Amino acid sequence: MTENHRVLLVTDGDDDAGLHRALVQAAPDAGVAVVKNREEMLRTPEPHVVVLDTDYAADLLRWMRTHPTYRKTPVIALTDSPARAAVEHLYELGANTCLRKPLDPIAMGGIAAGIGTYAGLVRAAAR
Amino acid sequence: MSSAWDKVIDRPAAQGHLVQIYDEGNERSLVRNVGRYLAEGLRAGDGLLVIAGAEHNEAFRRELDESGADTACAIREGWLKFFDAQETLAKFMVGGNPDWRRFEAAVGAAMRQVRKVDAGAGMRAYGEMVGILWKARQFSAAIRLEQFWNKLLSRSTFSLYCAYSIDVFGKEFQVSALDGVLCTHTHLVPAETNGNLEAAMNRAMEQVLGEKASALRVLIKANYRPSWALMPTGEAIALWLRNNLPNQSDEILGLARQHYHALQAQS
Repeated sequence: MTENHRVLLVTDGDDDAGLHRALVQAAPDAGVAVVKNREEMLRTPEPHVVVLDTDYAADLLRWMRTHPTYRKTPVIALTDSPARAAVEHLYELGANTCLRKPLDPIAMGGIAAGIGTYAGLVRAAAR
Repeated sequence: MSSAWDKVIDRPAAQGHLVQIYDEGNERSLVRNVGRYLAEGLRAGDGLLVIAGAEHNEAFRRELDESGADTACAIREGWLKFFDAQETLAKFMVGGNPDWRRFEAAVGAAMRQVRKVDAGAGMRAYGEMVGILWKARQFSAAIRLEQFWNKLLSRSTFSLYCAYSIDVFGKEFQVSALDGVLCTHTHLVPAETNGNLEAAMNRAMEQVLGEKASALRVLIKANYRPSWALMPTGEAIALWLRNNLPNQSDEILGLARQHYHALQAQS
């Protein structure tokens, strides 16, 4: 596998939503790393896109936007919170896109393909 | 225009706060949509308040006449009132910012002058004072004025239609500039009724991004921003591209502009 672009998935679960599996299947060209916290984030190669699927998305975003490595990295946050304020808070903290967590694998596959494509475009623009 | 957008314009919810972004050089879509919003209001028995520039007031009146509405009768009976936007604005601007008490007095007085055709019917207002402030680059004053309108909307049952002259394909149409506008409205009304903007965006994305365009569209469609006005797909694509692919967005939106004008010429 040639690693063209890197997606970093931060999740505190066991890929309950199936996003990691979907990313590997739908975006085979992308190098997908999975971590659980900021310490692990710092030990991985700098990604082109970060995907947050964690209850601590707000805390991580707050930290990322002050960290030199992650200050400008595009962030896609997955949320299953219906609370408008919670989602808006993620945008205020610097999320580029918030997505409601898809419930079915087909929709998750579509989202994963979109994330992989987006990471590839971010990488191409950075070259 | 899809039937969903038809309903938004024809039968806006009480306290609905609509906004249209239009091209200053081509105001036909604004005149058509606002004319329709007003004509449907008159048919529903609503009172109508229009606060616009002199040229727009005249154009809306002509559009109402052409729709078959008895505009002269509506004006005579006090169901329809036109006010000059600059003059109204001058009544409540203090030091470059709108003053709530003066706004409430000026706009409240204008609203009280409008009688309803039918007892129990609602009221529809169109206002472009915010657009005037925006054009003068008084962005925070424009958003403050939108918040004042929302305060009035929360107290009574009328709907409001606003308009801003902004180039959808230009750099000004981006999240950092428009967040305040989108957060203070319920619906961003599509400028055109024919889906040409979305078609132009899709064609331009496919030209620049190739087969990647379809995967990206899924991501754009899933973007979730609950505080923003509901918006048509074409405008949503333009905003997402500006915010998330700044390096490619100029090329895509430049091509989209060409396709859009070509499609409009064919329509």
